Amino acid sequence: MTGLRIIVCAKQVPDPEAPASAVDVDPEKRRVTVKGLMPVINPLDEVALEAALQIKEKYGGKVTVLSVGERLSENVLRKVLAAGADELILVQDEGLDDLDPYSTALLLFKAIEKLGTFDLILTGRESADWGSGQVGLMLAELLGIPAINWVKRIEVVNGAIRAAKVVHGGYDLVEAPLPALLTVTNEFGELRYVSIMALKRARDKPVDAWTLSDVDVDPSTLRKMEVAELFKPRFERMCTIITGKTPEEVGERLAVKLVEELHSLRGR
Amino acid sequence: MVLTMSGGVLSVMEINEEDNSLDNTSFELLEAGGVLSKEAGTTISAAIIGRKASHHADNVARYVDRVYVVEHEALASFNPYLHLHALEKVLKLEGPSYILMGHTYKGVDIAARLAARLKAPLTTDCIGLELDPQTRLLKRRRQVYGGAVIATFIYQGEPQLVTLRPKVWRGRAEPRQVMGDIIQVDLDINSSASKLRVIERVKEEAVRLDDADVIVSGGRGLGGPDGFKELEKLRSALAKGFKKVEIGSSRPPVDKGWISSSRQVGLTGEKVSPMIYIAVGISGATQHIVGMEKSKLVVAINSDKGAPIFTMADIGAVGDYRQILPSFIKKLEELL
Repeated sequence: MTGLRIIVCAKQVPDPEAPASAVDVDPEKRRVTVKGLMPVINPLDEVALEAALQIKEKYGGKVTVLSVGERLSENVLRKVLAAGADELILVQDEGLDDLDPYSTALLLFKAIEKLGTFDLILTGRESADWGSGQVGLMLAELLGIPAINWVKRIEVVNGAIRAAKVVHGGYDLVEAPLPALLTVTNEFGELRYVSIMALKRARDKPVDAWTLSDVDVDPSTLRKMEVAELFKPRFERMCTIITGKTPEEVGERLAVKLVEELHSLRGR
Repeated sequence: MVLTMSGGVLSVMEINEEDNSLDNTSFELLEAGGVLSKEAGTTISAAIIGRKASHHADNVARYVDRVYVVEHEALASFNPYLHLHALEKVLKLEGPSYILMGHTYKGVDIAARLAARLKAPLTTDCIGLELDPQTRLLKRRRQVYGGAVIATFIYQGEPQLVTLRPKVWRGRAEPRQVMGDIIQVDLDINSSASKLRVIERVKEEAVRLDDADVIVSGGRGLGGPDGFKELEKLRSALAKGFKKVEIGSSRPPVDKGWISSSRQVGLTGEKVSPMIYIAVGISGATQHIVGMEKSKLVVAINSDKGAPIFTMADIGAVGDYRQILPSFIKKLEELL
């Protein structure tokens, strides 16, 4: 084998580290907006990229990152090139926000058809925004290739993929022939550190921008998510902050307060 | 095409491979399916798929009109392709308008593939399910944006396909007066039926956080794996006063490999409701909050007084946990 052709599907999402107060709901338009922070690459898709880079380092190959959306930020997504991906392909057009999972999978399928042959597709098990966790498996069904869901470890053995699939209380060791698709879980480990220098160097790497017509998709075949209602739950509590002259004193008072609260909780 | 929604409800049972027991998720699906079928004025059926599926047929038949039993040696381990193959057989016989599955590693793995094959919109991880009386479509409620927002989806089309979050329904299915019919379904499995091979199941640390009295959880702010050694001291001090005290974690320590993922509390981890939840060095990202917000008493220790975890705690302490914990532990040992 002369190396593996790996495609990573990555979604741009609002920063999931944003506090709940930054998340705004528009019940009329039934849309969610996140104020104040730059979008990021879906953290679990970053994990998928890390998996791709480790496979490339071990077995050789080429890593292509594919992202679809309405308003993609090249600045945000270029991070994948800085981390070590070889190319970045953006499918960007009007009306691509808030697609339903099947339409997203269909769009990725058409883009991957245009890309040509591949050995492995990796993506995160779900996105940090709508988080339906369906797109990877649907894409594999459209491509007619095997898919292993929720993978935390990957090996290539005799041209087949061998993966640890997370199950309740352990994992299943599963084998599938290539080409295959894997969705990865956070247990795989975080994306490597990306330095400012690497980000600068990545400016010269290729980024391709495609539209719907480039991937031969008729916009009328794409469906949006059907959101009937949106609201923000409130999770607030009144917090008593324990103070003291020294941390030791804080620790002691914290214990006293905890036991006190516990007694009133138990109705003693 | 005019949609009739004239079919019934099908609940897909889950069997634990290790001991061939019927998972509690199954009863939750029978409960939710039973309510739905009453509202829709339709029948309810169940599918049991596994190597010894027939073992559970009589039990499940108490709650439904029809039970489909698909039994085959090849279903001994969980292979999504073979389990889906079996389910598709049942769908051909039953033609349900509503399909309910568990939001478990099995349910999701099968449901998303089935949704793609049927082009039927799927809503995963539902925490609420209602029938719209006019359209007879499902209102599917779920958490989005890490739990910061709750959304209700309504999709046209048949079948209506959902996975339900475990432990939201209590599993109190109502037995009926007459036992349902039991239908054995033959399964032919040839070499092309599966696109993958399950080599073996490897068991890892089995932790149950959901029945703990106290959970001591650490986050990114612990600074490294050694932080959990400090938490262990707190855990053993608390173990003198409580039956079951466990160590938990937010997502970053799992991502960094400091601790096993079986201890992760949050949207993609365990959802817990202990008497006391102690969050140490956890900033309080929403996806963590939704895993612990049902705790009765929440204690937070964090060096950042602006950390969102303090808006979710009953008692808080601001400072370096390494300096606060020793006296906290000592005093607790005195008081408990």
